Amino acid sequence: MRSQFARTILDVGLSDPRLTVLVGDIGAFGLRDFARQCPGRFFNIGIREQAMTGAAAGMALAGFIPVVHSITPFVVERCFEQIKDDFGYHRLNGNIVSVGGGIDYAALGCTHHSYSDIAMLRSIPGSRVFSLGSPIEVDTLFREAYAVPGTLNYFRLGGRPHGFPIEASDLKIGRGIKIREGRHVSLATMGPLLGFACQAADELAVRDVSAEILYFPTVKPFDRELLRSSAEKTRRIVIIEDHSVNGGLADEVRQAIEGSETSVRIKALGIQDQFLRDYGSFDHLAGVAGIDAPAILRAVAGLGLP
Amino acid sequence: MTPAGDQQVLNELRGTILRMVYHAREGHIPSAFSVVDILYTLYRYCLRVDPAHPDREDRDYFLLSKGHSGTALYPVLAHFGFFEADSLLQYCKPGSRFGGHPDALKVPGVEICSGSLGHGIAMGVGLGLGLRLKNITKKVVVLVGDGEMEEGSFWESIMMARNTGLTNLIVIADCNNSQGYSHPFDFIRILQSFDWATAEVNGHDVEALEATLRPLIHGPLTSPTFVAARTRKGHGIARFVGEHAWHRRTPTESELRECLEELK
Repeated sequence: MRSQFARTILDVGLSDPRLTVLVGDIGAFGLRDFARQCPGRFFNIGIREQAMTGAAAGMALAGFIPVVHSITPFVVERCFEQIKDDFGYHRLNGNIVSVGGGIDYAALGCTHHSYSDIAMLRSIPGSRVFSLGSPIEVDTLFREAYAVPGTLNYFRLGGRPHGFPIEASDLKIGRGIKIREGRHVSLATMGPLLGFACQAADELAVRDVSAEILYFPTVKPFDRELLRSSAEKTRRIVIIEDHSVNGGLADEVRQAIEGSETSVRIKALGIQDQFLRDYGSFDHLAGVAGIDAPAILRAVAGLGLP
Repeated sequence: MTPAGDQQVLNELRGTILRMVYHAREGHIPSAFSVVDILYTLYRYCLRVDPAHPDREDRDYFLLSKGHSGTALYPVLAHFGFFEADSLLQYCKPGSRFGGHPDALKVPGVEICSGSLGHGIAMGVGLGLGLRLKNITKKVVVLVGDGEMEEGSFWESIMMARNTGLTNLIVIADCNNSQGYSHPFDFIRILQSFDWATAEVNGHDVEALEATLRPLIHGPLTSPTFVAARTRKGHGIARFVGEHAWHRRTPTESELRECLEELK
């Protein structure tokens, strides 16, 4: 994912002289080709994320299209006010690209987790939020989104690709993807967790439960139509996100079915009101958080299915 | 010395600020009086800007980072023709362009939306880097408060400007020492240790301000430059100076009358 990001911005940067890249020390090595081949437009600002974000906004004032990159908590949570004031309030076009969202840095402790990034970025008026789980999503959606005037884009690059083949033609800003047709329950997910949703759906099929899988590379603007049409059919939704249950995908899903005539049962799997203080692999911590395939099966059972 | 003609304009500007705040029942008068001489000098004698075309790319960029002094910026911009002065008394009222902190999307000549401290200098660094990439040789001038210099993002930006080798950034600090509880840091010495060029000036003396700022803004620089402007919060009206109670107080009708009299 990260190497795809490096390839994509290099390619875009070679054809668009407005593109500038700012990193907070992290990622400087991985983006060295951009630095070499787009001279003068790569800035290793150092461990100064607030100033980096403000400076990126300043570059946007000068007519450039900045890409700011670091680890999620540092480039989102630490400098949220710069994102809100310097980009959002000014209606500037810019791009924040983070790695390490959710629990991707599972063994590194809660300073390196970020369960709030999507909620925070969603809250900026006019922003767009992408949670990406495979290289083609990074390439396609970045190219489509990065230069829209007045728009702040947030790209959360998942740590582990979900492994499911996605067609470039299915990728559009604001469009969700129906990965699998089903009748009994809708599994709505994003990023690397699509892998768990597919595992769970396979297991459910053995039990004759037909799960529809909805995948949302764009969290905002949200594909409400896709969600609604699925919910009207299955009447049951399980949301699976590597994010707080507050303010992320579950919130978008709830808003999408708000006011709907159909009664829909919802179970949101995400980070509940807790810090995940344990260490280990991504799979281990996903189990602790209750967002892995077994947790999906339990949630489906909780909605009255086998 | 402030020439008599300039002083007369400055007295009128202070009077406008008083009336704006009086009508709005909102605003920071002493902070505005602390910087109004600096703003006036910049627009009168230093900045290469065109009020008829405030967005022309090839211009000097003035960023008011201490947004609570927007109360002073609006009448100065109006005086120099960026917009009509007659709407200033709508300050802070519904539908007005002029809020308690400035909105760059609403007011011609206002470069950034400020209000939260420690943002303007970082944006100024990015703007300076952008101008450098475009081979535009004009300057970025950022006005900060000395209280604002307590923000961590200010110091991040100081180092960032030095690391990126900027030679088109001038930071003016409104040093009014109103942060009474702060240790009296020697900012000149500190900034010199960060390899910034420095200067010091009386922030209420138009001639001295021009003599210091104009060569910096018009001439080539070899490093980012910090100017400590020594000011007094509330300067111009005796009762405001040194009186923290006035930080966000609005005058009564009789106080307004007495203050306007004092400015004559």
